[in-house]
Amino acid sequence: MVVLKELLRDGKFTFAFIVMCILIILAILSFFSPYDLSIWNVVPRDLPPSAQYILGTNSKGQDVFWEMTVAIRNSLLMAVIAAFFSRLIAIAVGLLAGFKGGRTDRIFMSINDSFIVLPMLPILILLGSILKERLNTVSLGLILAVFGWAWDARLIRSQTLSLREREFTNTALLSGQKVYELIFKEYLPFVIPIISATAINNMFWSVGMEVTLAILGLSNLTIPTLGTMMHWAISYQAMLLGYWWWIATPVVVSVLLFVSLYLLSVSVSQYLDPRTRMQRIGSTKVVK
Amino acid sequence: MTILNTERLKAYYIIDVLGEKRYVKAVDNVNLEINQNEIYGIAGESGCGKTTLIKTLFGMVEPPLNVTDGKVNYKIGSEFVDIFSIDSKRMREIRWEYVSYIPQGSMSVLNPVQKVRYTFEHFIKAHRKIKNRDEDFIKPVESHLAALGLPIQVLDSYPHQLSGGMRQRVTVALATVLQPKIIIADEPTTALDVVMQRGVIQLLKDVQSSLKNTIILVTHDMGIHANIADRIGIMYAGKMIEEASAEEIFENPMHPYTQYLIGSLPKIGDKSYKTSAPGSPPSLMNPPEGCRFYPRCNRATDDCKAAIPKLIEIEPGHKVACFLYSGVIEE
Amino acid sequence: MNGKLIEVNGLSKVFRVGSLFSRIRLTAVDNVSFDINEAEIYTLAGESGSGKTTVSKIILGLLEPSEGKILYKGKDTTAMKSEKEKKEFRKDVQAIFQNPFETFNPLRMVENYLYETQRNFIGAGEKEGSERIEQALNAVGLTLDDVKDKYPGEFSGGQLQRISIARALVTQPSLLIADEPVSMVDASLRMAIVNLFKELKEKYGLSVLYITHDLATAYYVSDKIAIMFRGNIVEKGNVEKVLEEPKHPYTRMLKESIAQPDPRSKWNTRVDLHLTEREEYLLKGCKFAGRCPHAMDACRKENVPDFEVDGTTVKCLLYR
Repeated sequence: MVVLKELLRDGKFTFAFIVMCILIILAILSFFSPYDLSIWNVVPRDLPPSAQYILGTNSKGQDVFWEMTVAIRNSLLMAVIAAFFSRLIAIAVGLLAGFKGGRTDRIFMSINDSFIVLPMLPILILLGSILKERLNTVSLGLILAVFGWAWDARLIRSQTLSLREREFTNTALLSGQKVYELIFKEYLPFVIPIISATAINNMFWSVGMEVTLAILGLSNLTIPTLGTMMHWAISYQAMLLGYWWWIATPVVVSVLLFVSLYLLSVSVSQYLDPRTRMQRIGSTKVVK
Repeated sequence: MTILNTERLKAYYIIDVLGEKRYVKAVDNVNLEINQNEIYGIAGESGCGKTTLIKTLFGMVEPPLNVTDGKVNYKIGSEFVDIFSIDSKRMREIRWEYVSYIPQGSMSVLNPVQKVRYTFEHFIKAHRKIKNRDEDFIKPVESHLAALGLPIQVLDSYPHQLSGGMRQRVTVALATVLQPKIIIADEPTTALDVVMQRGVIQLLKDVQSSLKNTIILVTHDMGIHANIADRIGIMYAGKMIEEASAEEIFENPMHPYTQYLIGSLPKIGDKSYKTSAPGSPPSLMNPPEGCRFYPRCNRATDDCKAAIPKLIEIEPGHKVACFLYSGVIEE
Repeated sequence: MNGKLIEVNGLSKVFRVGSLFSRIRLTAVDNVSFDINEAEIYTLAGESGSGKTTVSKIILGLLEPSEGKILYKGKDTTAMKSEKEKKEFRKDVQAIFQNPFETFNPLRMVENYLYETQRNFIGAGEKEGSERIEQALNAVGLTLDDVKDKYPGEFSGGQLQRISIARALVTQPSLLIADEPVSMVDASLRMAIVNLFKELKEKYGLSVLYITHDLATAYYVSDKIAIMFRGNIVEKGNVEKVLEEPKHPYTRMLKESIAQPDPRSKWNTRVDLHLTEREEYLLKGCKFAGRCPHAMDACRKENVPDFEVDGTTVKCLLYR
């Protein structure tokens, strides 16, 4: 994996990568949880961290450590779903609108702009309060995907517009390439840095949104996520009562998640930036 | 009378690619002597280092470019001052009043969102006190433009309203309004049409003959050099390989590269077969050992592979760096 | 006997520029007609803004003309509807462009374009395809080994331009449109590429539409020339005749303005430049009248027709 090795040369990436790996391992661990996190009062409540309960227990009578692993899993899953589907929509809309231009472009962009100006938070609050019980990780991910593509579609579209004016577009057409070949073989490599950077940003944003909704009590509170953990900790006044392990865990994990996502986004997009890419081309080859 | 000289000037780009330092030897041991009241042309292909050389002559050296050795001396008053040894305040004073620079692509000097008048005003204000706006600013600028044959309406235009040739001439006017002793022009006519090109070159000639100052002109277009330069220096792969009067360079080129260059220029009225030098110029990151032109030269010997020939005077006023004419090696 | 390869008849292209409130009609190409024969190098010369690139884009089918017809090998290209016809045309008429560094996608290896052109137009199997590509590269002085596994950033401008020509040759076209092919290539390497055009014409009977503002190389390499000014062809004919004895005042001014690489023949007359280019486009009658030393009243009133003078076609009332 030459790419990975090269990325690891960057200190930011290495740190973020390690943190993400730890988080993913914890998320995978959640499948081995000895407790079912939808059931309350399986263990003694409000116990501080000890050998038996590594991160203590919460006021609902659950093991905080295992709750955390499930929370990480759910939050990550939701973020990935949101990012993935919103990218798909953004790429499709951006590339098509940018390349076709004319009426297609105008129609797509009108739809796009409508989504941008929608006041997201009030609508999500509305949806959250209506759907409360029926919201789960996947559906929340999909809803966030629908809100998250508009900004990036515009970015991708403007990139496509400028790529269309470049000389190699003509060379490609003269070489007999058809439109879809042009878009995917020629333009996509340029668009990928934006996509990867914004995908990670999107994950960032999704987790943030989820946490916001959960703290406000507007998502499905029976599913452990980083946000819902915080919600319960706050409602049970964990800070005031001194049960720091319960509030500290989701906060610290969230901070680690955000920081590593951010660093990943920065280092990956730096790596994929066509300009630095071109600097690297040939430098890994043997100098004759 | 020398007005600018360089001693063993070396300016390299130091770039860091994935942890490894690479040196691009854009200016490698150049010794120049440029006189007052002359037009000195620097010719060479793209990638030979000529733009880096004049940036260094102007003092525009910023990382990743570094002056790794040598000096650039301006004659100010009666003494020679190494511009890399003075503080930035003094340098700012010298710039534009003593030495001015016309970059490639006129738009970068003219502010696109302001009328030309204001660009002139800011420029002059930065160097002279304007007590009486009419006397200190408007009159001198208008008479300067008139002397250069430019219509005064350009002052009230935005840059994009002017044609490319007109913009470039306005840039020349801007660079000369403070009557500098040295004007450095980097490809002042590339991307301009033949007729506009003629207008800009005409203007530069007029400026020089009225101010009797020095113009250092960099271009790869030999036709321009033939029309305006008094002396020409030919650069190849970061080094100066030949220097002589314009007539000498065209009629009696001595270095094999110069010979190829002059021999390959097409002329109207001449349909005889012309050829180019074989191969292509070396990369400045890994230049060949010994004479840089060795790999492409059809008269090279083993000596050429082993050492770099020094640029020395072979005939009066005609310097060449080639073992065909002298055995002197560069230190 | 050279047959006619392409006939351009009465080509015009009008652009509407400006915002929603003030649209101006810019006639970029105005009633342009010329013919290119087989095995002929034809130069379309003019300064920037003369319309020459627009003409080439229309011929290639990248732009629709506002008026006029193009007959290629007798067939009307503007009437081509089917994909098959269009593909045949693309195979026979290829192009190379000005900026060798922009011709290829910097993130893709250059060989991809060679293979794609081969696959899409010739459709030969892998072995035969590689042989054809090798032949095309050899014709420009390169080999497949020189080019394999490399990105555009690893080549010089001259090499890239040659690879670009090789790509165009893969389909074995009859017409190569070369838009300013050497203006961004160094003077010392220019002649190699220009000589290549001559060689390809002599060996393979290739015709080249050479678009440039450099009259010196045009003189050196071409057989015929048409001088364009603000959308009109003002003079056309044999390249020696037109450039050695120019008849149209614009051609004369152009020739005088060339910076000849000879210190003994410096410019001895002065030139006056104008404030804006757009004004000239919108003039009625002869567009050069504003600068012409011989301008008459009639020049500004009517559209000037073409006159045949001594084998050259000149669009100037001086020859009425």
